[in-house]
Amino acid sequence: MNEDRLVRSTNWGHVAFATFLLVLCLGYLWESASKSTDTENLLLVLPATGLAALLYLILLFQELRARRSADEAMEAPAPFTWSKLKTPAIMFLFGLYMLGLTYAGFDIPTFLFIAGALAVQGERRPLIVFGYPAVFTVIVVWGMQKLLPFPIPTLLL
Amino acid sequence: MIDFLAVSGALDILSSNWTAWAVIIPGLLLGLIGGSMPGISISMTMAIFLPLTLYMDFFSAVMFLTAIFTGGGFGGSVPAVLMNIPGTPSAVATTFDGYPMTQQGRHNEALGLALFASCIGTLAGYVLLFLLIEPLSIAVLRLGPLEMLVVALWGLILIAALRGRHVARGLMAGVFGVLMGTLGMNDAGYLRGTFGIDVLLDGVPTIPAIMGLFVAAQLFNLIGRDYIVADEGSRRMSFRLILAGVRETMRYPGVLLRGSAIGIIVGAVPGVGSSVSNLLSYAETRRTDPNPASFGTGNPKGVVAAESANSSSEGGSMATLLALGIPGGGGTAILLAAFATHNIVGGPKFLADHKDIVYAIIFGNFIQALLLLGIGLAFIHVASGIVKVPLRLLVPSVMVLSSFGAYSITGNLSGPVTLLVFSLLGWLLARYDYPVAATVVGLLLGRLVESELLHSYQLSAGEVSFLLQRPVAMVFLFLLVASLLAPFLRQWRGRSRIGPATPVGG
Repeated sequence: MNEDRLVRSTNWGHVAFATFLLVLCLGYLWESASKSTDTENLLLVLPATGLAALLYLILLFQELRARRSADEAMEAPAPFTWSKLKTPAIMFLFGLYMLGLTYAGFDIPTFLFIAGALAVQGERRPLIVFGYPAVFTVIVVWGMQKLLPFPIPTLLL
Repeated sequence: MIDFLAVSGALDILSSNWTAWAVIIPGLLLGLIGGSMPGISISMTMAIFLPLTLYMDFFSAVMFLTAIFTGGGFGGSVPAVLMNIPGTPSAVATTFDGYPMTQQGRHNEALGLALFASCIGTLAGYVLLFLLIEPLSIAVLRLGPLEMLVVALWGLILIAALRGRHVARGLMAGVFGVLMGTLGMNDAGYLRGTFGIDVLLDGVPTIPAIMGLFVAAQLFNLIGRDYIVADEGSRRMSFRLILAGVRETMRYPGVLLRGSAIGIIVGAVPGVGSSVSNLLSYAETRRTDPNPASFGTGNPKGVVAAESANSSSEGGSMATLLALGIPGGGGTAILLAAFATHNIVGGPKFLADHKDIVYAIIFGNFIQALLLLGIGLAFIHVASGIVKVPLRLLVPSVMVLSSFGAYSITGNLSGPVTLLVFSLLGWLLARYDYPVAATVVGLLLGRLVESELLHSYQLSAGEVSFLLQRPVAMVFLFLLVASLLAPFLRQWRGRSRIGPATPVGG
């Protein structure tokens, strides 16, 4: 590897994420200031957001100055595989699960989420894909119904 | 310093109350199970079983809840070692070296180290509580808001400094956590940061948020793998190797003592507790070690430092609870609730009037620490079964359990929704190498930091010279600045010194 030849290597995903964090902090400051500009309201929020802005500039500076070897930069990106979509697919299912809890309670969405997550992860045996989520859902819903002093919304159980 | 009449009364209470003995083992087991299940925190387990204590007398209720507390202290280290998921926030530092040990196939030793360090830590915490409860209560009473503020900020800085390579990211994660922790109404009565969402009036639901940041974020990273430990041989549990880990703990008496001392002191400071003490102890052990670069690569001292500190914090936080009636964290807050359900108010008057009960609680916890060693050894075999479960089953199951857990905390769907939002955030933080622990501790301490800052501002009338009148705060401030500069000094020294690091146990 030729370590003498270095090229720019900015991680734009990281820049976007740091910007997202800063926007959230600034949004909070703006919302707080719109309620009241009293010292006792902004005593922590203002300097903390200022510090976040300063740290963002440092992160941006570090990211824009990031370098890696030319050989490394020339390497072909790893080929696309469907397995790379597993994580976003399960994150999406988890989001749908939360939506399902709102409208259908805990039992059916729990069964569907586990079955879906198993299928996404490559499980194809019907007994596992359908049997395991059914047994797990019944046990957990029943257990939580017994433990909690308030009701759990469900459709069937 | 020790009231022997009260000690005699305590022994009477212990010898005449069979219920108190009967609830210790179930309490330890519940704590071990709750602590070892990612997302089911110690305080949550205690909260779930709090209604049961209504059917017990006061002493038995406290024994039952402290047994859950003690069991959970070690339970949290099981997934921390095996899965890199701290079962509780107090086991964060256990992951740093515990999980690398698992990856090297040394999970048996790591669990043995964690168990024995936990037992010694718990025992040390309560022995010191026994000896020092009265002077400690006076010392904690002298900590003003400024001292509390600087201690909390110091804890946060240390977490950022632990990630020496990315100090700016660590600080950013911590600042972001602190800001998230202050959403809702502050102590001065200002309501902000709700963005029109009613659920945020009381702030971010902390426990679901922490579960999201730690649990789901970690689970997302496990997707696509078959088992937690790829090599089947490495997944085997060995009683002999666990015992070897137990024995190995005794090779680090200095680390054990220092961890226990840090845990007791930090645990006694309200609002900071074991979630900070394990990180402080880890950082201090790494800082003073001749081979600091070996930490994070599977150094047994890292596990011992973290576990002895988080377990001894229980004794420290009990000191504040019993002496001042102030809960140091979630666990002691539940204990305070148990006090209230039995019409007992913790604090100086309780300590003065019922010293026999206080000593009985301390002696009861000596016994719990000893029982934990035996029960913990048996439990490791059961709990460690999680490494043998295929991840494709484990991942959605734990996500579902976390969702149920989040619901049980808030009593409505705001818990699961918070879990989802923070799990996505946690995944992004981990993806871009931000320390999730810094955000979590920031979130936990945000409200405390703002409240102490407000009180300090009111006391000082905005005069910076007020700091000069507070020597203890100045000492903590010096430590804070030193911690902030330490990573840069380390980098600078590293550049001027050439020599490869020697990983331990590699």
